[in-house]
Amino acid sequence: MRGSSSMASRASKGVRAAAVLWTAVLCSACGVPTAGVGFVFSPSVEEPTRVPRVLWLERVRIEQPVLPEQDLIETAFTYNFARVLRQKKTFQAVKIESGAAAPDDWILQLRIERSMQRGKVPALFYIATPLTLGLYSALGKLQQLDFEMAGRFEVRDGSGKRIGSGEAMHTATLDVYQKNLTNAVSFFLDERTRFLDQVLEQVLSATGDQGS
Amino acid sequence: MRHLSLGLALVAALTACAWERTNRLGPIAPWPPGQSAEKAPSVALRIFGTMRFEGTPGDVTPAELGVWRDAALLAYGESQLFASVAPTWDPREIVVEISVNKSTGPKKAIPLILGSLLYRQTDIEMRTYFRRADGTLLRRIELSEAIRTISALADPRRESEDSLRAILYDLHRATLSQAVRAGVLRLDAAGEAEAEDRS
Repeated sequence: MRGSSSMASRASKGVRAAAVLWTAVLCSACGVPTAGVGFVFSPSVEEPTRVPRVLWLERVRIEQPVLPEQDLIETAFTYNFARVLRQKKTFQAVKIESGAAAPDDWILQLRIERSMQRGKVPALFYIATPLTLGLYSALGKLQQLDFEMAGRFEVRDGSGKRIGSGEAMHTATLDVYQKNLTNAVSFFLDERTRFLDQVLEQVLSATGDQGS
Repeated sequence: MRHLSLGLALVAALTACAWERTNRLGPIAPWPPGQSAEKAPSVALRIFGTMRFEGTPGDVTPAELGVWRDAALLAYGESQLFASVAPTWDPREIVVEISVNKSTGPKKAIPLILGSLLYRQTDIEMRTYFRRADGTLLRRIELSEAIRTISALADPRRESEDSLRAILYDLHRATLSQAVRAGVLRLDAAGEAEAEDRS
């Protein structure tokens, strides 16, 4: 009984994942990206405080692509980025630009220069699926997901002196098959979190040991 | 032709979605809440949040964010508590940070004599942080409400825009009523600052 219920649950998850992928396939076929620039990130792993300073986050600017409701998206990106940074606890506190920073505080400015998240259905999918009576969709490559995000950052202290600056870039590709449909659902969120991890690492590396 | 129209009407009726809310908020009165301040403050709204579908986090689309913003502008504008309301990063006397967390649960069925009705529940949690221009937290208010989207045949994958607008509007109204009762929107009275949390 337990076995059959777990099988039913697995089957239901499979159907759900297939529905999500099919929506993505349709979107891609119509030339629509499977995700926007996005600003929700996967939960991150908490780490002990490494920099005993308050970090102020300026509004993140997204230069490419230009999006509808750009202001709203940049606001949401900034606040969700702050949420990720707070969860990581790398800094003593993370504040959003509002109020005045103390001279010892750091101010982080991030500009997203390129952001691309898309899904492409290989031409072979359209040819091979009808020819193999649907067998290809069970075994072959269904979609290719591409992620790219690149940005520049600058860290200043509360008095306006530049502490460090740098760049971060992250690209990733996932070939989607039936067997890894679940990974495909969270692919963009996971990669965005990896990009932010890179930003944070680059910030720490660019500011050297000035944090402590 | 007549049979075709009847058939289409029947299909439309069966696949259409209805919605109901759980009424966690209760009645919101009076509205507008009214505040006899000599000088109404200007307010900047900053809206953000997350979405989950059956536990999986997803992107908040620009269209969705637009609905969130419009509902906030409507409620804050109607409240007559502020001299101006704008979704902006420019400094204002009060900054309101609104976090909307929307979570849609799995599909469930209500058994009927013939067939069943399908529904999904979407929980909407709204956390509002009222701050002074210098960033001091005046008050954090957390409210939630839920919508059940019901359909006879089609899978009710998402709630209608109308239902979402209505619920967000009511959540903002209830938040503002609480804020007025707590006296946090008066510029003259130096409202007590709340402790910051890290969540």
